[in-house]
Amino acid sequence: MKDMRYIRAASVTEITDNLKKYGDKAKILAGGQSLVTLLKQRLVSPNVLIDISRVADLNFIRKTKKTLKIGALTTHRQIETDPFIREHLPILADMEKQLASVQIRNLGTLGGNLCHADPAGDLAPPLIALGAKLKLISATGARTVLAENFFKDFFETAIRPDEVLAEIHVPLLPYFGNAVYIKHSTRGVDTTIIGVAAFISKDIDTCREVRLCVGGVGSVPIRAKNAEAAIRGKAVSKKIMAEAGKKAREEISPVSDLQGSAEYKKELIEVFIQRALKAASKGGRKGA
Amino acid sequence: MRKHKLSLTVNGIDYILEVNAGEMLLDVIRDHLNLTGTKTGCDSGACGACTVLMDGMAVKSCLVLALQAEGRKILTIEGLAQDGALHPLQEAFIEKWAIQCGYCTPGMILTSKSLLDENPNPSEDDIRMYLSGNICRCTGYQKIIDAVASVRPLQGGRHGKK
Ligand SMILES: Cc1cc2nc3c(=O)[nH]c(=O)nc-3n(C[C@H](O)[C@H](O)[C@H](O)COP(=O)(O)OP(=O)(O)OC[C@H]3O[C@@H](n4cnc5c(N)ncnc54)[C@H](O)[C@@H]3O)c2cc1C
Ligand code: FES
Ligand code: FES
Repeated sequence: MKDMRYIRAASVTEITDNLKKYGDKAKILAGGQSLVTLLKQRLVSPNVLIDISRVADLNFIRKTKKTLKIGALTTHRQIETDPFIREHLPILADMEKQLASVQIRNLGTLGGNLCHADPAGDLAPPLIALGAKLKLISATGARTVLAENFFKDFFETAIRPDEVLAEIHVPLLPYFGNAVYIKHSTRGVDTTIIGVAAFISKDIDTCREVRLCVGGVGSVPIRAKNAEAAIRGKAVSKKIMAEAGKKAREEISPVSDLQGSAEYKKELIEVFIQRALKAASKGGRKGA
Repeated sequence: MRKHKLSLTVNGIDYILEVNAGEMLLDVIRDHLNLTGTKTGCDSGACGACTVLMDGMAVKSCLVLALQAEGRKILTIEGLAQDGALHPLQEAFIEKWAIQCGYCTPGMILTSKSLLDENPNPSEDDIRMYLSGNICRCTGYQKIIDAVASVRPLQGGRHGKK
């Protein structure tokens, strides 16, 4: 690994000032659980490492009236074990249980996972299905983007070199709403072959709103919008869910990769969209 | 190469070292401090052989830059025995034949310690899930699970007891 300057930032301002000064010569280090491997393999070789892991202002889980605000430095393990999240957004705690191993979850952060933008990442599909937003901060100001619009290509995001991802804003589930994430992999904690997140809210039996997001099948997580349209406004029946599975299979063209062939993934999409919908629509949150 | 000062505590001893920004905690432990009980396996976060406890938390030292450990307390396998007496987990691994070649053992034992410190009476499933980031190529795992299960206080084990 080449020689690098190492800066341990103590505040958000110190992060953004250093990003402004060094631009794309610098790399942010959060938990290092993805970046360190890239450094070792010389896939990235920054002149400056800005270690943000001690910036306490970016590590929090805070509930407001309708939103859960999560600091970008919150670790996977904190989400997995947080009592509020386990009760009110169990989709996130359940997803974390299946993400990597406990050692990786102890250090890996939500912000790092999103900014790394691995198309097989497990965090993005649930956040997109929940309608989460991301707050980015630079020396010149802040902006908020929908998680759905954050991912641009394999390992590419909408973040500028002078910006830090500071917060993740997750809408709380509506009273008659539920969300689940189903990951398919060789063993529970292995790399995702495909991951499907489903959010659904209902008036009695009729689907009011639905968002489906599939990870591991393309360069970025993909919303299955035709499948959603097949269910929205309709009574959620087995037939409708099967219809949605077919639509998703038609509208998504998976890529073959180490985890599986495109054909295999097409099969999985149809099956897992149905499973996720079934689980989400009978999910027991407050009787919804 | 630019040198950076690093202060950390390893097995109760304070050190002040000079390291490069790109040096790993694993290399500091093995090469600067000659504590070779911590093993290098995959060097990419997958096998768990390099697991140490950092402020009580299991981490893979091949994925931690040495400078990330500034001010932290590190526990390696060499720091587990107290006054010549093996830790209950070490005894259990011997007693239950949970060691063959021994390469995974330091990582297995430290990860298990962190589990039992968090949750003294885990189920067998909890043990399996918690150890899923640690690979063993010899034992077939069952004896490792048995060893960890045997030190649970409810099973009459001695973990956490002085
Ligand atoms: C063995 C192994 C198994 C894994 N399994 C899974 C899995 O099953 N599912 C899954 O989703 N992930 C998995 N991962 C990846 C891991 O979850 C995340 O990518 C990791 O948690 C990243 O977080 P970090 O804090 O360590 O980020 P770092 O490694 O520190 O940074 C990652 C990238 O994000 C940038 N960055 C970090 N934080 C910010 C910020 N706040 N603002 C702007 N840029 C930032 C960095 O510059 C870098 O480019 C695995 C990793 C390993 C090593
Ligand atoms: S050597 Fe660190 S996890 Fe394999
Ligand atoms: S005892 Fe040989 S790898 Fe586990």
